[in-house]
Amino acid sequence: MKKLFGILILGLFLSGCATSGFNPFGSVQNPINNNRLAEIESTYGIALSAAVAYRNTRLCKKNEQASVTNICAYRSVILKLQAADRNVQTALKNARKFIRENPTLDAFSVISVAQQALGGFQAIQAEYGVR
Amino acid sequence: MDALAIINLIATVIKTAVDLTPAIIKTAEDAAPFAQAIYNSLIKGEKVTKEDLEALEARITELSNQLQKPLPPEED
Repeated sequence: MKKLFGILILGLFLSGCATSGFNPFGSVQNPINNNRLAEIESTYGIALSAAVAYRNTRLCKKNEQASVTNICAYRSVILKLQAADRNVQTALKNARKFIRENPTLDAFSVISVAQQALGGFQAIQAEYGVR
Repeated sequence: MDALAIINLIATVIKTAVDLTPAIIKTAEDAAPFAQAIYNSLIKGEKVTKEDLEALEARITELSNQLQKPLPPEED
């Protein structure tokens, strides 16, 4: 009975707040979003730096094999990295836009999408030894 | 902690080998601001500002543009 009474009081208080325009929970910017996004962007920046170095390496000729003593970059790997980069860029743009337009909301879902896209990029790097 | 030390710290965490060939030194220079940002956020626990994010975004855009440069035609 006491619990029900407490819930009723809380409900009355909150509905009163809604009509009066006072929000007891405030409108606080979600700092976690910025930090999470910065961590993903920074991790991506490091991966991207390695990819750019790979891109700027001499291209392997047709049928040429890259090795420790014969350093060259495979065209096919660069094309894969370029495609994966476009995915990450789209996901990051969406995450940045969401956070800018919704500073108080939790951006978990858009940040997760960006994280997954980053995972895809890093998987290509790991598969082809781009570091 | 200098930029190369930060790279090594991150590399240890993500288990990536780092060695000092010229291409990797250039990579380390490009990656240093990002490693610093991770260090500030994860290790020092600093709050990231809108300006910090804009700076990261600008660097990423610059690097992405370099990666996206069209490849020359394939030689036969």
